[in-house]
Amino acid sequence: MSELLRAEGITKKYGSFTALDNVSMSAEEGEFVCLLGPSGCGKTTLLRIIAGLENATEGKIYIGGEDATKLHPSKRNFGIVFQSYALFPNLKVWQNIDFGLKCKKVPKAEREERIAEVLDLVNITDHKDKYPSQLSGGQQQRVAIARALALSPKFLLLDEPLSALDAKVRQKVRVELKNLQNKLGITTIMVTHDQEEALTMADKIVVMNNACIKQIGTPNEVYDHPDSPFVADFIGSINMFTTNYNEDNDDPNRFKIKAIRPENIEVLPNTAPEGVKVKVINIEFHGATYRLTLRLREDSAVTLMDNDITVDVPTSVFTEYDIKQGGHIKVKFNDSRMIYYNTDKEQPVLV
Amino acid sequence: MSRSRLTDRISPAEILQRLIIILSVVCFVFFLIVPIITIFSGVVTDSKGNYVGMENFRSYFANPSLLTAILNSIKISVVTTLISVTIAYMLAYAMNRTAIKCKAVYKYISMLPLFVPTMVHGLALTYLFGKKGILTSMGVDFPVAGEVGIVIAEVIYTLPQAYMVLMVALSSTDYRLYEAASAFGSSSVRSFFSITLPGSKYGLISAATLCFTLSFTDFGAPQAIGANYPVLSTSIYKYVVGQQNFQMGAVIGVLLTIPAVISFAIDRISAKKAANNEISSKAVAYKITPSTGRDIFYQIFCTVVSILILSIFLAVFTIAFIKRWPYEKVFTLEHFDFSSKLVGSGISTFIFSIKMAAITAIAGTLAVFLTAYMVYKTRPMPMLRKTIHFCSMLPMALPGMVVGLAYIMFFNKPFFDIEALQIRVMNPFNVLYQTMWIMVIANIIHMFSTTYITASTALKKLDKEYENAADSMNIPFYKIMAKVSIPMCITAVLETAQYFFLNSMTTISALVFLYSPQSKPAALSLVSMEDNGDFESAAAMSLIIFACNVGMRIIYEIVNKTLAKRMSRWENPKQAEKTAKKAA
Repeated sequence: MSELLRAEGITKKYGSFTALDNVSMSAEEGEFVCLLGPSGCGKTTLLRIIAGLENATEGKIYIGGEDATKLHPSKRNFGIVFQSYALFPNLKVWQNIDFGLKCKKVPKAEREERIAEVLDLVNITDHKDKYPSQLSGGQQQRVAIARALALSPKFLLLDEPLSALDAKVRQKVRVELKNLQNKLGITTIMVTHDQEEALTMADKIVVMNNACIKQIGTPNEVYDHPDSPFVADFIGSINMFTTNYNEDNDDPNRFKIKAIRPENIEVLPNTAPEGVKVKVINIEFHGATYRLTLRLREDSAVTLMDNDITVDVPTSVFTEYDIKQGGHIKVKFNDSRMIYYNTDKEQPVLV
Repeated sequence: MSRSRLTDRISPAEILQRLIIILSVVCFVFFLIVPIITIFSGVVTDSKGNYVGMENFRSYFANPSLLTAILNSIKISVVTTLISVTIAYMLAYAMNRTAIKCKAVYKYISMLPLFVPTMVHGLALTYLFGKKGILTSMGVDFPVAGEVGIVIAEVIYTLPQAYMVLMVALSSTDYRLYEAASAFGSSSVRSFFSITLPGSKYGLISAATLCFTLSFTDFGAPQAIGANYPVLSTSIYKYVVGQQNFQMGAVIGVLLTIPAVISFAIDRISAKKAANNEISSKAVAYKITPSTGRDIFYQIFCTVVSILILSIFLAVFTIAFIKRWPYEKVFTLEHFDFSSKLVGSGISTFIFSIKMAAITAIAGTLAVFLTAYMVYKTRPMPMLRKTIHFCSMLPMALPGMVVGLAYIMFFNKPFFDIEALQIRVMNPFNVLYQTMWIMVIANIIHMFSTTYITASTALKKLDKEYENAADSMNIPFYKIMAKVSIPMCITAVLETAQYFFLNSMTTISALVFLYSPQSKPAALSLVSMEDNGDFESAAAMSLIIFACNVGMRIIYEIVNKTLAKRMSRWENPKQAEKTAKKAA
């Protein structure tokens, strides 16, 4: 695999506000990259700079190894799907797709063939004579993808393409979109604030916060080995505890954070010989599992934790142990999955 | 990257965008900035161009008749504003908050004054109350010439404008507020003062500043009925056209500009505040509660106002179709035959007007939309685009007469002397002097801000990603503009063209200094007809202008309805429902 896209040292300032601060990332040929982060972290700005829709204050963009920093968007050869889809409302579905082909002076027969092809690809051929407003959100999104693919672009940019859809539709489209990308093998960069979307779809996740990249890695890497408390907390659920001393260091101002995901905490009955004694504070039914909020008992042997603990238990275990609100159980941490962070501050500041 | 051909790297469409942006900056510099500088430099120089400081102002204020003019203008405008805003508020209230009958009829009648030049209101008052006036001959003695006449004419002129602003202000409210108030046991009078009036505060401010500025700067009405009552707009005309005293003209021009600038500032501030105070999207529409007393009162009020407005038009009709009131009360069409008249060039001025208005409408709409599109929908040259935006809003603070005066001072100069360099440059724009084109340009600049706001509001409503999507597909901006953006805001395009046309037919303030015997619009021929006491021809010409404008408006409404129906196909179901409701 060779590198197709690279952003190098990108900084973007709007007056005194820094939207992106020295950000670098790349995408291999055929890779599905997700830019993930909370709103306002700069992920959309980065996508727009890659597209050429915004100019970076500093830094360079390379496409296919060539400097494209100053290149006009129309010369970068990409397809894009916007959050709003930006379908031309006064043009029918097929005209939306045809517009770009026509401007490229593709002969008519070829154009018709290409339109049929992409419509078929996203499975929307039946609706080709409708106006965008007559389609559902999911259908509009497919048209937007078809339009983006019609000119056979080198790469595809998706700006929160699923956020306007209902939860149910979103899950379905997620699978379809990933399959389509696999089938075409087209390099894709998708912006999203939904960690689940990123985990299920991406080959590589770029986690961003406050104008910076926090971590780049495969979904497994960022989930299992988050570099920072922010990444750990942003992706999936996690329990974080501040210890009031530092085992490795005598500096009293330094604190250590311990973090562990709910699934790595084992629930044991109160009668078990091992484990930490806890009280059940809250029970939340999630269908296949129950999510428990637990608090350390005063008489517990462990005193290092200051936060409540979140644990997921399968329904079967829940019934078996007869867990009740206010009841007492024990928990056991899977120490090999415990993650440690050093911090200067008392509370785990999520940066 | 390999040093490929330039066109591989730069999009030709973007080069075109840059050229258009530069071109519009150049246009603003020569058709707006330089003329304004010319008029301001006229204020501080004598007739030979020597710097005299504040001397012109001093001699202005030393002149008692000019001092009177400024006080008169203020007086007229204050009284006009008070009357006009009160009537307009009651009209708008009647339309929105009462259950009176025939609302549509009242609405159309109150819009009628928009369709004729302001001179006509003054003329009509003369037809009614003048020495040989229709009502005078019936024994009514109401000396209208002068102060009273000007105020009445200005009220008629400003009424529809204030009414439109207040209609918008009163139509948006949240009925839940009233429900809450009545739940607290608040009386309807108290609800009016604690909910209705504060809710329409910004509309009232905007209507008041508009009325004040319009009547302060209006030339037509005082010219028609002012007799020897001096106001600023007629003084500037006398100094410039009568005495060729451009210096004094410039001083009066600056004085005319002051209230416009102030109201521009007030309007901007209150528009910003109003934007923060927008009613919630959950607001419930106002429900009209039954009240017989209130409805009877407003029914009578609206009828009286309508009769008063109609009487103005009736007077014009009477004079135009009667041989010689009150001596020969027979029907005739001879006043419409202008060929026998020595004064004015008759029907040719009307043809000239139509031509000028049509060109202004087409060129103006094109210029306004292209400018707004460049400002809001393109990426290159952000600083220049900001400058263009500023220049587009600037004309709002310039009265038409000031635009006209600035133009004559700038365009009739054959040469510019650049003293610092000791060179003399030919004025390339001098060729426009005394042509129709200078009037077209003056009209476009004069009306630029209002139309620019319409255009940019419409364009801003469109998804800003259309252009970005187009860029990604290598669709040049002019194609997306022609095929998507403009069709999507076609109603705003039509409205703009209609506005340009109507106002070019009726507005004379920007043109009084610019016309020549060969290029004279119909609205201005009224001035010379009136000067010569040829009231019948003036009435006939007024009617022709009126008929033309009403006809144009009807065409506009029909086209607009047809297009709205077509456009509803593109809208999402929710919006389509709203549009359908609006149409109904």
